[in-house]
Amino acid sequence: MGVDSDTLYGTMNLLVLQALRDGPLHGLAVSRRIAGGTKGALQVEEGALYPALHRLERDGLVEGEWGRTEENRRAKFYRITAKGRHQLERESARWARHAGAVAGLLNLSPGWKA
Amino acid sequence: MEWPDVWRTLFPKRMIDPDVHAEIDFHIEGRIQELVRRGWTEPRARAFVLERFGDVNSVEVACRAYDAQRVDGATRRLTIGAWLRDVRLAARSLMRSSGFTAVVVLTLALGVGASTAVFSVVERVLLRPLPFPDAGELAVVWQNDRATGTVRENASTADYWDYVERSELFESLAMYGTGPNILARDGAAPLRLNTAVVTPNMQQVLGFDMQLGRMFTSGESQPGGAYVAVLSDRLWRDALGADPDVVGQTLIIDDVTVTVLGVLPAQLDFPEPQTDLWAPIRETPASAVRSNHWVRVVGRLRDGATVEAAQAEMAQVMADLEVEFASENRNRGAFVERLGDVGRGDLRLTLWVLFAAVLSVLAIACVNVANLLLARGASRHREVAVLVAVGAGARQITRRFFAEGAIITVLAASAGIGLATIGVRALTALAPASLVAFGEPEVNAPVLAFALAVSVFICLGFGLLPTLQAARLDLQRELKEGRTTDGGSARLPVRRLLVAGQLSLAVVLLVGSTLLIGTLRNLESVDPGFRPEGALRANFALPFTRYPANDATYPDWPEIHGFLRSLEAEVRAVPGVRSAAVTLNHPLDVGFTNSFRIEGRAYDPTQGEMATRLITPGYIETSGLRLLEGRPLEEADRVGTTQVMLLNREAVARFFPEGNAIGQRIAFWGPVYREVVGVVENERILGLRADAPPAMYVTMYQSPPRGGEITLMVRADVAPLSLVGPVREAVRRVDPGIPVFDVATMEDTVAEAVSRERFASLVLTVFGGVAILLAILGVHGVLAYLVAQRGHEVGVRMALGATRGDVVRLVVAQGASMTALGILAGLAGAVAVSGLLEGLLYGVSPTDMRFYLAAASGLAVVALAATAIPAWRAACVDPVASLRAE
Repeated sequence: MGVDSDTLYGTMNLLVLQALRDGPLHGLAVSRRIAGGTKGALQVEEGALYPALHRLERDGLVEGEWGRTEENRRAKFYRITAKGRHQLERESARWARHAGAVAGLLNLSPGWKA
Repeated sequence: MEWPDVWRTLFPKRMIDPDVHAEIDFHIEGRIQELVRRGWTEPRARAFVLERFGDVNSVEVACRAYDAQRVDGATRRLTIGAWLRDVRLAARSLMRSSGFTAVVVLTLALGVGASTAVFSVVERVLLRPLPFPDAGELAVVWQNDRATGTVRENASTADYWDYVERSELFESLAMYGTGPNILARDGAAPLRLNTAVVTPNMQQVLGFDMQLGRMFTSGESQPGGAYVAVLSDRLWRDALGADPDVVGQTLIIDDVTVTVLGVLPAQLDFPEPQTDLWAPIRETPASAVRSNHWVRVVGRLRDGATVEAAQAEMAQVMADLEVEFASENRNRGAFVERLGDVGRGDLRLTLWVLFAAVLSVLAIACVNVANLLLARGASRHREVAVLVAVGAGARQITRRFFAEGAIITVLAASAGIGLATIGVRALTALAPASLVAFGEPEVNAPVLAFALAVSVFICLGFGLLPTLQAARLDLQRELKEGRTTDGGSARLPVRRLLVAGQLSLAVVLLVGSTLLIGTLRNLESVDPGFRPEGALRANFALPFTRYPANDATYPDWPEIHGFLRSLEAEVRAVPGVRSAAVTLNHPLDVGFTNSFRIEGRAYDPTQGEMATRLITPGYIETSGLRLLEGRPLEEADRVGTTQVMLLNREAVARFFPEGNAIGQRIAFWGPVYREVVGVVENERILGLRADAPPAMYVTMYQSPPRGGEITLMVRADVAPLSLVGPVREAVRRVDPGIPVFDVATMEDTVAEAVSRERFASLVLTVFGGVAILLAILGVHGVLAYLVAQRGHEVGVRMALGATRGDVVRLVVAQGASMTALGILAGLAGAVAVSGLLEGLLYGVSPTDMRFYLAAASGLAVVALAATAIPAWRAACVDPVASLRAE
């Protein structure tokens, strides 16, 4: 049985918010975090991250702003909003309750955020 | 179809895509750097990263859609801002496929431009109302002649006064006659004038206000009345410098002092194109003559009276007159024609045929664009799927496509209108004189409205098409299957039917143009009976003051005879002139007919009339007419010698079938009998289409012309046009007060006689060519798409043992079935509509299958050639590569 698109996006949203919890990141950095955290288990094309970011921005869960990287390159950085943080808490709790169903699939563990 | 390099130079990436694109670019470049630092080669790293990233375009579309929704949320849905943003997004999308956009815009611009140009001619000649109030109530009352079968003959002034007295349905009736006059000018060459003599109530019948001064009164329109005139706007401006004090001034016309009473309104050009002035007709019921038919009658119908009813009424009036005046009105009936239809009969058919043809070209162009859109739509399924997946509503998608359609339409319409102004000029240059006589067509408000209506129609179609296509989208399948879009094959039958439809329209156009080319060829190979090469004609008119035509002394008019003799002598002395002659009507000029009586026979009322040609003896040699029997007219035939005439072959065949014409005597114009001394070949005088009618030729030295336009004909040993100056000089030496006008070579005269057919066949052939080109592009496009979409299938077939020949046969079969369907439908359509062309054709049957066969086989050959490229491409599919690609 496949994962329907809503679940896929829901999962992606959660992963993105999780990645941004400790501070603003540009898309590439978010992508690295998620890839590292899920150890490649999430079989989604990398590009799928960006619609997720823009959708979160639309919904007011993150805010995008153009800035400079350490190598002084222009990049768009995303910051989690208060609303986003609230959503993350709520969804994390929901995920935790269904951990049995999803933990194996997403290899979600408290430790990967480092 | 992408020309990215051109665009990138013109529009740097950031301009196209300031936000999202840069963001994605940063990601991809960063990833590549990462791998390069780990020792990957740059190309390999790029390929890997792009593969991992997925479809960049879909990602960008989705991101932009979310951004758009965010902005929408902030503003409001469906505001002008949202529309503008849609337009901007659509513009970007079109710019990304600049090749597609260019092809679509050009194709549509051609269609819109060509149809608008032709419509402007239709509008000018057929649709624009006459510049009179309630112009639909105006009608011309012609006479017809049952014996000769002619339908638009002049009336006599006596008949006119009877119309006025007896007609109930006409509220008012006016009459007019036309002829040339000469305006003397101080210090300038005399000017030839087109004069109309009219009844004073012409103003009331047509319904207009004078621009200056007043119309003449009935008191001024009596025999022996004062010499007065009203001027056309054109004469007033061109010859008199639009002098505001012109009223009351005098002009010298034909040596007579004429007082100017007023100026006609600017848009009025009546009764004939290029009329210079109106003078009173100076006729009353008491002065009227019934045997001389020289006037035309125009009237205004009472409210509610139809042309058909007027026709019935006037037919009855003419029937009564035929009983009352048995000799003058024998065989004469009435033919009532709406004024707006006069002179447009033949053009109506030609123009509607051309308009139908150009609309077919437009339809073919639209089909090509529709096919391009469907192909693009199929390859954009994923984009649409992404838009739907990110929550874009049907409305947003529809708006997006309509915005694209609107941009394409605006571009195509502006380019099309630009092309139309060029096209109108080309059409005007090619058009026969009879068409341009109505005034030059122009791209005016109604024409722009037409172009706009066509464009809006196209825009709606192009917005609707991709929307309907998107509505059929299977979202799940599209997202899952990714780029292997198979949407094309489901819609391919539609596209094939569209292409077959294009081909069928092209066949109809081709059949039409080959029929017209055949007609033109037949007309051009008609033997006109005279030799046009090397011959020149020029018109002049003799003012009656210096060249009186006194009925009491007819035919002894020494002034006219003296002029003709001196003119011929002067012109013959011009170097390069081989022979010269004067004739009342040049070859191919209809002229007039007369009833006649053959000596020793009872008058036969069913014999009809004979064309009467007034010539000088040199005409036979100068026109190249062949003498078949007897002797020609000679200089020795003059007033006081035996009255003689020539007959043409047709007259002999009809009236002297035993071949004993020579020596017979025939009378016309009263009791004077003329002896037939020779027989000449038939000369086409009713145009090239009609066989020569029976005709008699008499010498002007025995039957001088009564004024009107007279033609000088010259046969040259040199290029005829090089003689125009010397001939004008020769005329001036005889009488400096006589202007020469309407100079033309006889070859041009013959060409003008087939100008309507040449115009129609040329324009139809151009349209046919464009139709072929577009239809071939359609065939090629659909097959190329098929091959591209089914490359995998082809690979499988080849892997399973199909040879390249099998693959080529598969593609060619697809092309052949489309072509065969289109051609068969086109042939059926051509059979159905070719009858409409009948009035334009000559010596060609509208269902002559040779022309159908030529058109069909020609198109079949090109269409099959168009399948060659896709077939070859299919044969080149590498089965291994195409299977691995899956």
